[in-house]
Amino acid sequence: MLDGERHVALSAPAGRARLAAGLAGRVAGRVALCLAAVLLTYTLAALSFDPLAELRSTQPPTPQAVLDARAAELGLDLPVLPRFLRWLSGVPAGDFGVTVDGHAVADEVWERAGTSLRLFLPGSVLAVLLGVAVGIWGALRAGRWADKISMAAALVLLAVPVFVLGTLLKILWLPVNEAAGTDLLPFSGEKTPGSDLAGWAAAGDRLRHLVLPTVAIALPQIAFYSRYQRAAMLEVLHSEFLRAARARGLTRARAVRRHGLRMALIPMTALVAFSFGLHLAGGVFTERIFGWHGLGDWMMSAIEHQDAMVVATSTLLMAVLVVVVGWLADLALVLLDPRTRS
Amino acid sequence: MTAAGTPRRRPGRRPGVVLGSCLLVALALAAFAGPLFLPYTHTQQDLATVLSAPSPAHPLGTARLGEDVLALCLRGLQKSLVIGLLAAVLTTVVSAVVGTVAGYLGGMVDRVLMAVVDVLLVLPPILVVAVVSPALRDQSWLVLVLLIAGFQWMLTARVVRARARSLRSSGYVVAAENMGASSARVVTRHLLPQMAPLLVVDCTLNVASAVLAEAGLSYFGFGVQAPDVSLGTLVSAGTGSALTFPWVFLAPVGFLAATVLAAAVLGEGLRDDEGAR
Amino acid sequence: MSPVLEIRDLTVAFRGRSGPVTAVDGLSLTVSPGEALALVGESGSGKSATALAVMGLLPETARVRGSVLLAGRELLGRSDRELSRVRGRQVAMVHQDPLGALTPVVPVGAQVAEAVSAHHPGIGRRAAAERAVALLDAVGIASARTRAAALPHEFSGGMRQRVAIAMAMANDPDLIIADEPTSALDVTIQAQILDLLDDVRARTGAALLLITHDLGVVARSCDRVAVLRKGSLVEEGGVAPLFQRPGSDDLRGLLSARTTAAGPERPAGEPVLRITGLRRQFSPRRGAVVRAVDGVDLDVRAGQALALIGESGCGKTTVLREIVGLRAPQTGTVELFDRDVSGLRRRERTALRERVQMVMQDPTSSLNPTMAVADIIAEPLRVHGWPRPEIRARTRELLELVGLSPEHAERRPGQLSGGQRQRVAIARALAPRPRLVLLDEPVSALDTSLRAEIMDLLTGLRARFDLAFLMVSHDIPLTRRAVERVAVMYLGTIVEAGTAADVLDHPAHPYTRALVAATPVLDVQAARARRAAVLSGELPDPTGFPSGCAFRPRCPLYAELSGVDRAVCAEEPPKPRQVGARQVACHHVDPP
Repeated sequence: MLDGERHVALSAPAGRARLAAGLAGRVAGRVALCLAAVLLTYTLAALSFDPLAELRSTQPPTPQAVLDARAAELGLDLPVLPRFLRWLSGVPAGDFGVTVDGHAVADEVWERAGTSLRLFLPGSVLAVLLGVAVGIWGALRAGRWADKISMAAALVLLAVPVFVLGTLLKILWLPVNEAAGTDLLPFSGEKTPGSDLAGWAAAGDRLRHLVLPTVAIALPQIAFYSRYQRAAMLEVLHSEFLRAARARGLTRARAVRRHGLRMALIPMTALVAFSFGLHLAGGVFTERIFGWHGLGDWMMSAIEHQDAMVVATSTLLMAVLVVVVGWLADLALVLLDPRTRS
Repeated sequence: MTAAGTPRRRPGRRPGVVLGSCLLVALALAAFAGPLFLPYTHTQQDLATVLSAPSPAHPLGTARLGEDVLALCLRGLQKSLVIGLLAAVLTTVVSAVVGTVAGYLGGMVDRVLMAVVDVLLVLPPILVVAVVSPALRDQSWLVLVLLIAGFQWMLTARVVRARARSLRSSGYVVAAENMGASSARVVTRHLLPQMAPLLVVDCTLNVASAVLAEAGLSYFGFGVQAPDVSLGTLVSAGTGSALTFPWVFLAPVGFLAATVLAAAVLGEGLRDDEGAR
Repeated sequence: MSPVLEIRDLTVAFRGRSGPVTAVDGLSLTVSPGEALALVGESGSGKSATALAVMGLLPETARVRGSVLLAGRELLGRSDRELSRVRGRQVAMVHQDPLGALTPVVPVGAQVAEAVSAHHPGIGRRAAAERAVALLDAVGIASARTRAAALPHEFSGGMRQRVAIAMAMANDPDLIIADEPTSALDVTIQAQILDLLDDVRARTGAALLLITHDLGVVARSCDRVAVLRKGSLVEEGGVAPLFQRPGSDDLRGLLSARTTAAGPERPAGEPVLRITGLRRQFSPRRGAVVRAVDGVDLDVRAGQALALIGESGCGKTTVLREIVGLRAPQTGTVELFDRDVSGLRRRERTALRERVQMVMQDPTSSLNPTMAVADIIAEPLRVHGWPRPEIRARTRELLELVGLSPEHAERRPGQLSGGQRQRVAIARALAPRPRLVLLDEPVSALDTSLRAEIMDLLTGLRARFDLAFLMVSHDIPLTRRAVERVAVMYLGTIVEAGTAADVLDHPAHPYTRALVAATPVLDVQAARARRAAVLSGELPDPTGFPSGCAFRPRCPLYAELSGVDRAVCAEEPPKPRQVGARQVACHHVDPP
């Protein structure tokens, strides 16, 4: 076969233009994915929800005219796709439709989104960093007891569902709170309700509320990422290029730092990009267990109330987050791996 | 420096494989045969001993209406195991078909199927299943199996596709095509036998994820519905009193974690065996 | 003079699944300053493990005993930090796989600079980079300053190996260990790299420990040779005397595999394959077109063997693929048994497949590891619907034909040696009684000592069943002994075609001449005399088409031509012309 690898080195400006075009192309692809996922969820919701069920089951029966009016108000007289498009067309202007009980979705959405971000992002960022660190540390000690124990711990952590983990943390922490006589680390909510703390005291209060949910969000992700990172690092440690780097006079530690780490991080970008969506489920559970009123909590109640617009809105915002994280992962990949630039 | 013909170690000698399969068998035995040896059924209520701590009469204590927690857990384990196994087998079949077709045929078919995979991977599958759940409230739990499988096949399908793609250009597949073998023959004689170990590994790991998915859905009330019980519904019911009556929570959690861990350990052990070949 | 390297009673064992596996077993060797010692042996004989033991780069699980003295200092048992001061400075290494040995995401210049700065901590980034450019220039990388910023995958195999050599010479080492440095390269590039290594040694005065399985390489570049078998030294001595009178069966086996015998002469029968004007283009990326095959005419007659030779990338394998597909080519015609394949119906195509079979390069990948040998051999018969009892009888017969015994039938490919595997692949190809067998480098994946044996098996089968062969090869001595006719390809066209005796013994086209000259030979005197004839440059970027003669940029003849003669080369692509009994596509080769 032909040796397809003999490209002439690209001149720098052409390379940069192609890089920008490549990144833009990936954004477009990810936005399309995001819309498709929201359409899918919306369609499923519209098909399986019956927002009029409550009205219909009242005694005495609600008059048909009232039912029809309500249906028209919710746009139920339209087929699913036009209904979705009508909802979507309002989104750029900040109109996310109405809830089943008649409020504008937009009234609540940003507060919900903010709560979710404050809850989910610190834990996830921490998890990626620690997962990578633990994985690399384990690979460098492969086969020793420390590595075996951390790998076993990761397996156990992955076997415990997130909704259990949160409650377990509460059970474990309860004696400490009781011993202290006060809620050192509170179990519920984003801040102490009704308190009039300000400045640092308020920040401290929020921080104390954040600790346990963050641990609940981070632990399973740390376990997840560290297993992959360990495998990737092990592969790199057995690679020919690392041996060659040592053959030209680098110590093992320096060869690992200068050549191994970067190569081992490259596959992690793709892993973070495609698994981030899966980890969102952990956030949803955690919101419920620790009583944070974020998007996930909202979406779950919306499913209970058969509220398609709220489901669509929260799905959209989650999908946007997934897209943004995916794009950041692409960016990290391009920075780590110059091969992707040509 | 290549060591030619290293002897192949039989699967089953790895500690993970032994440990995982023993634990799974033990759990299955307990779930299906255990209730026969218990003096209580899981529905039997004893209002005299409501929410009592573990005792010789009730080794794992009693629940809110005085039901024996051990009997409840074994009953829940039954359902969780059945749902987990069925969903995993279904998941594996779907991913084997989709992955092989996409990987071997390539082209437009591949692009469409992989786009579907990507869309389904944007959001947590459990949320998507939850969205559908109101319409299925009165359906049999078998529908739940279908749903779990329907939203869990994507990762395995990707792995299978990648393997099928690399096998497609492998020497013996090219050789078979050169001798005039049909696509069906290539897939059944060359691709699937090569992928069988991979599929077994993934099926085992899928049991773990399916059990977790069932528990998660039931936890939110979107999964198994009363009067049926599963580990998920039991954990859910126990969460409210987890801080006051921990045994109603910890007992089903223990069974759940043991089941998932057993499947995961077995799967990882088999994967290591596969990788070592 | 005290030796630069002294290995005493070296033993290396790896942890195997069933106890330790000894890779090197009590080996003692010395390398004197400036000397070139070859370490030869089959795969698995412990050559690479020895090299890694010297470098202190064996995996941590390896157990090493004995002594390795570099300029009198013991290396075994030293810490990584101490060894890192020796590696790359006193002893440098050139690896077998030049792509694997370079970090894929670091520019080549930075990797060379690292070889400098690792031993000169105070040198500074800019000075190290400058030195790297100078080194890249010294190993013959054109426009080294810009190319230093390129990534490894943007380089060809030969260029990557030059980069590796630049690193090895960065600190004027006393010893360079080269582990099969050319086995992944074409002969023309191999000759360039071997010359470069000689050149580097001349400049730095370094001794060379060259690990190889190719005795032609030894004859060309080494003073002494040590033969290894199963980790032990079998014999050792000067290259010239030992090649004349080998003392061991190991060396004798390796030597006999390389001897060139005159090819068979068989009468040609009816036409089996005729290709006219075959073209095949690919688009590796948008806007780029590769003319992989650019107008090829060939014909093969019953009982006859034709070899296509040339560097990798010349399009020879694409020709085979175009034939085996039995589909209409992009341009041109392929006729098999006087039938044009473009008009075939599905049934006819399937029927025709029985008569055209193929043996692929690497039996390890071409045999399904999960199937038993008997099933592998029977597969084409099952595909073509042979009745079951006949299949069983035929399978038994085939095993015997290719020199395997009936008990091999139930084994899996993983339980066979490389040679046995290729015998299975041959049996599979012969199963449906084909008339034409396409052979894609049928022995190049095998150990040297097995190659001649398998090639002779093929020749014997051809005579017995009156088969026609179309073989792709880059091993000229083996080709010479296996075929009657040869066609030499360069960038998708045939530059010379004729009998093997004419083309390979008395090449006419300047490219064929260079190719033959680059082929390693065993005669030490002859091997060294040939150095002047090394072809410069590499196959150009296949997406650019030079006007006129494609070989012009590398052509040694063109370089000597006058302006008028050059103009013809530059403007007109040469058409094949009859020169004596052969066809030559060159404007300046005259009939003898």
